[in-house]
Amino acid sequence: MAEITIKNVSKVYGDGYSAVDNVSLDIADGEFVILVGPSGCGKSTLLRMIVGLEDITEGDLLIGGQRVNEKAPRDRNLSMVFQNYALYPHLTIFENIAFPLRLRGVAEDEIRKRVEESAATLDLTEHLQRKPSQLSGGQRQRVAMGRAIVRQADAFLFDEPLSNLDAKLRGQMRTEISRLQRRLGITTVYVTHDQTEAMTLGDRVAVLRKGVIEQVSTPRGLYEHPVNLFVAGFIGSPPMNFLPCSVKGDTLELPFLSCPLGREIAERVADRKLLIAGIRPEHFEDAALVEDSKKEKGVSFRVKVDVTEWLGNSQYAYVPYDAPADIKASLASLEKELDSEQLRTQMIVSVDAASRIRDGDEAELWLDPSRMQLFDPQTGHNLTLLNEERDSAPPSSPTGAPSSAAARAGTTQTLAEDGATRKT
Amino acid sequence: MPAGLDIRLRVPTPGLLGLPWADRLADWDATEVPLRDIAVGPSRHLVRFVESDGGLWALKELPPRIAQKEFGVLRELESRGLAAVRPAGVVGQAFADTAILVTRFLQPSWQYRRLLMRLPPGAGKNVHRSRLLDAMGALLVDLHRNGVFWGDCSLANTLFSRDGQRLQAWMVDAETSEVHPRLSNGQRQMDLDIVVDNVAGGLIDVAARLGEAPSDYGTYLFEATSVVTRYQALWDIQHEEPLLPYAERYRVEGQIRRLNDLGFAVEEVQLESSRDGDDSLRLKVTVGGRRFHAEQLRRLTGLDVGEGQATDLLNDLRAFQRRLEQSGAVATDAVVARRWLTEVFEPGMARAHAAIGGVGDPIQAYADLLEVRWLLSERAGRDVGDEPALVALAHREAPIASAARMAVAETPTGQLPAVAPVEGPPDSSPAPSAWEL
Repeated sequence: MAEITIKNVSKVYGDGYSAVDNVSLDIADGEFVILVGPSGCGKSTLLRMIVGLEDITEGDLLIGGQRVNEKAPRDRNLSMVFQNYALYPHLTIFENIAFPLRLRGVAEDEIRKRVEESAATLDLTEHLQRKPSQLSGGQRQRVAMGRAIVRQADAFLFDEPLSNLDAKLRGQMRTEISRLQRRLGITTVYVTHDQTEAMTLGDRVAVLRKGVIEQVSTPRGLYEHPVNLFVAGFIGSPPMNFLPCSVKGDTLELPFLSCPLGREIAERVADRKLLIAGIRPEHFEDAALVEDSKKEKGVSFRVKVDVTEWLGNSQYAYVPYDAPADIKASLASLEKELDSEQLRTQMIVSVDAASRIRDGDEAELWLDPSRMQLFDPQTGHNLTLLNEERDSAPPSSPTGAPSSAAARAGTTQTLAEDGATRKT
Repeated sequence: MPAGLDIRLRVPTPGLLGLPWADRLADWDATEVPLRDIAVGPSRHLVRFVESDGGLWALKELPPRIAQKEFGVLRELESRGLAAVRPAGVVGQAFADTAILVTRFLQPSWQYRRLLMRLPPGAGKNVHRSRLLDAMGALLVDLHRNGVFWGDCSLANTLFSRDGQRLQAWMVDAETSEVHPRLSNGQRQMDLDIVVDNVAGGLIDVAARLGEAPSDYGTYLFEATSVVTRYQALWDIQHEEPLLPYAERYRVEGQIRRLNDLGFAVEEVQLESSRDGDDSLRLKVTVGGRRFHAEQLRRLTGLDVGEGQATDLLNDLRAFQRRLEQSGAVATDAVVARRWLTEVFEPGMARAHAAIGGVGDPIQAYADLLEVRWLLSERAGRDVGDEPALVALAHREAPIASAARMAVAETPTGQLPAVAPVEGPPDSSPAPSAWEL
């Protein structure tokens, strides 16, 4: 078990390309941290520097307090899970897990002990004398995890482990990985480009963009308090709506509605005429289904609905809107950066599955403006966040393991406006 | 036809174009598609084989992103002339959120399991395993020198073909591979750690299949670790930068000869003053491909063969030349080469190929004849001539550790069996079939 400390680490390749730029991150003992971002953001390079596959150009990497920059991968005592997943058809499950230990000269009774313990953790005990062909797909993946466990590594590392699996097995494995990490309480760093994996697995998630960490927070923190447009757009599916808006005194004018602006925020945005409002799809509702007592806390407005999608347990309505050219341009470039195919000039509204709104309807929608985020179109910064919110950890996710509670309480970092990474 | 079909073939033959690309690979019908039953061991992905347009094609179903990545890596390996399967195409099936990677199956090549299953037990088998591991080590050095990180180097992800008394290893699975301008030491070490684990697993798996007791596994574990030694020896000789005193510059020649003997051509030699300020020079050698003897033989005779075969054939040519010279004949290299081709090589190759029943590669048959004749002569203490060697080859009784014995891996047990039409989707991890044995 060990904490991993990344201190001002940079990676510059021979051709001058800077893949990771002055990144700092403390990963506490037992914590499950996700590195996420679009392709080319530097997440895999960062992981590979931790493993020892990539040389570190600048900065320090510490594992368990020891600087390991120059150590060979095998001397760092980390385990890349699923790197070695091949199962051997004629070996028993026991032997499939045990043989790498034999290779390392571990004594026979120690091998037996470790294999049996890992099998118990993975619910494989009754399968130990069977052959891989007698196991289900999910069980076989657990055998591969068993190999990682018996090595007694200080931390687990995953490099997009599910990208290679079909959708069904992917879902299963996500649950298996999460369960295993909770049971073992082992420090884990997990790289993915899939924000669903990031949100469901991690105690904390680091969102990277062009080699820089934009924000590190709990999944809930990223979702509710994104520090900028990039994080706001990357996290959430369907994505956050970005609407152009302007400030008129203490009123905010959006394409379909106007709403009052809190005095404090109004003061903060006063000198900016044009803003981008970020509204999550679920902050809307079909006005016909909102209770009267709740209705007056929000704003109702009428729009023409283009298309609806009914999914049984939920329903989405799509509402196109127009935006000024400069806002359109900044949204288009954001879209490109996010690898997103979402058309940003249509609003996605989540309404109750019981809603009767249909394609082409002129519908009355309701919005709770208190959860709206306002972004500066030039810098992308979230203007709604108070400085202390920007700097502190939002409430922990409900899935956190006891072992990582300390980590969540103490070491969350976010990128402050001036670009420096601060620690609370 | 479903939307989102994207067929990209580099070999647009009618047979390949005619495959049912609009269907999932698992649904292809053996009564309509020339599917072939080839045991390749378990795979995470569905792999099926199709015989078409005179070739055998491996088709693998993968998530689209991974398929495109592997296709790109294989193309890069091809352009660098590295020993890997050749990518023939990639077919996107967006309607099913999947893709099919098409590669040309190397013929004649085989999996390590086939060799180890078919060789008789007992003495000599370790020599054959040693040849397998030499080939693995050499392939990894080649890949690493070209900036290729394999990520999942194993016996099962490799195909082997015979090349004189050596084996040539071919990379078949590049799912986890990356091509970099150059590899870090960490990347090379990681690949070596992975290969040792995987080779150990691969060897003891076959041992278990053959019913060997787990108490015997120690040998295989030890052999697996030897891949690193084999790799390191080859890597070092290509990368060492010895210091030579200025007055001993001639020693460069010895260094070059050592590389040539191993088959490496030398592209450039650089001597620069050492930083210590003494009178010594640091020797840096730029090593080219491993075809030194093959190129020499091609220049002399026009024969285009593997480096291992070329080494054997050149020795034979030089022996012929010595015999001519001893008999007082004076001839240029070109004349000697022409006479060797018509008087020695061609008739010898025909007899060797006939002796083994006309199967396999005739040039390899001749290389086997040379090897077996040499081994029998050494045993007898005199040159025994071709006849006993031909008899040994014909009766499959070549000395137990000879490379010629590896022909068992090549002898086909018949035509490639067609896949029997089945109800329901095929098993993506078939049990080893008779063909493998």
